[in-house]
Amino acid sequence: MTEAIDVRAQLEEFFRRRSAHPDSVKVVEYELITGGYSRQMSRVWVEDAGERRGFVVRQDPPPGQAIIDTDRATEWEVLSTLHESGKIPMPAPLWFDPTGDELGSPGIVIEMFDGEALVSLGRKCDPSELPGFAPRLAELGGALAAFPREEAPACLEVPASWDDYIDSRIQYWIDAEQRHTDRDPFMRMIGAYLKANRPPPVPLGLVHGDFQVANVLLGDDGNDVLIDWELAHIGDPREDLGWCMMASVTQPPDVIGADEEAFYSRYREISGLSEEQVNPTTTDYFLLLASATVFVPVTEQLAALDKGETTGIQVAYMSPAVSGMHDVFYRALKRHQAASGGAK
Amino acid sequence: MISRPTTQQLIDAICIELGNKVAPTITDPVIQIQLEMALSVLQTAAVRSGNELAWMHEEREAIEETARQMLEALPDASAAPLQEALQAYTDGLTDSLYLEEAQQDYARASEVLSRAIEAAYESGDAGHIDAVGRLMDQRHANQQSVTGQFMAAGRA
Repeated sequence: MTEAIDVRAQLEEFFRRRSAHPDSVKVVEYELITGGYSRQMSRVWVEDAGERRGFVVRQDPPPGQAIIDTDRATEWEVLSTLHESGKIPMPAPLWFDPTGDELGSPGIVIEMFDGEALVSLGRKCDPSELPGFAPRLAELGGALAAFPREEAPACLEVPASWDDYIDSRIQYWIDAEQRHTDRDPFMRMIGAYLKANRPPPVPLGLVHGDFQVANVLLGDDGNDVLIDWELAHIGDPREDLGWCMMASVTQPPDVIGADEEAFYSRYREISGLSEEQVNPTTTDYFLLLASATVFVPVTEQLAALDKGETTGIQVAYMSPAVSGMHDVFYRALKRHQAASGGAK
Repeated sequence: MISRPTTQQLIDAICIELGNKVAPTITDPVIQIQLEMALSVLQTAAVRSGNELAWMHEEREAIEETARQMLEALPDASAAPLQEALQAYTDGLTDSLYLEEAQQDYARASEVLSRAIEAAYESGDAGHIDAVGRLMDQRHANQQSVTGQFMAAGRA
């Protein structure tokens, strides 16, 4: 309870410093957002000069508690640059505390968007309504793929070529397995399979990195937004589709699968990519390629547990999570093999 | 030692109690998710405790047999990494029933499997790919018996 009070006081002071009427500022509601595996997130409602506004605060968790470590300064630059471009629908990033002096740990304050997450709406809607969300999801995915690379945040490294990039992502799987404390033939199989079955190339571009229904907020009149940009990078835009399919299994619903035709046709229309370049089979390839970004840090957490360097329920829970992800990988590989003639 | 109830039965008994009596009393959503995660880990530990020694033994026997068959068919250059891993496996084999040693035997067999997979895909030979595929099917089935359909906790 004391901790919650301290956090509220800290936040109140933070918002007072940014208000024209500091004496009127009051944090009227505060709640932790559950379900995140990397950042510590909260919703805050503030009264300022009689007006009530909502904010989302994304902060670094205490050391050793994040499953994936990412950098808030990079995230801030990504959010600021993309929001200013006006080409990607997203909530406005408002303030950044780079040192944590004000918020307790480095953090970003974002405008609260008035909308429901596609993951929750998709779970409670009538199944007949689910296909209607597929083209809406394609709008967001297509906007990412169509984003001009030259306007991307300068902090994002641009790979030398598509081949170099794909090579490095495949090698990441193989190297990660060799560093791991446990031997993992699934990881090695993915590396070997990806090497033997490259898809047609596409221009490198902006990748959200965690494109999935949990990170899509549905607004009125189809004004939907994308949140959680901490894994954004320059890569193959199809990585976002692959990761979305991966996430749809462990965190349903599968909105793309609800109307594949509608999704892919709208996505191709916006992105300018062809059917040969983007289809369910290439998505399975990129499910395998892209998942390393989340899977490898998870195995590193398990390795730390194995070596006695860390503990905690969330870390131990990564053991069934790894097994669950193996299952998704294996089924995607088999689908790809069946559809493409595989591996030859 | 006490062998009945089994480790699996003891963990299952605790999970039932935690799920039915403790979980409904928790109102803090963060703690609710932690309990959900803890139950998931305990349930997988229960299944593992009942089967993992046998599964590791069965899998490594199948891996060794397949690797030997592949070595007979692969050209020398492609076979070298697989041969090396198989040699390390047979040299280090303890065949122990103590978990730590059994896990080390299994880890060396898993490296053999990984190299067999790499050799199979590099060769493009459908027979080799099918052979390593059968080993992966076996491993996948065992893992699925432990975890089942995984759903991320707290992502409602």
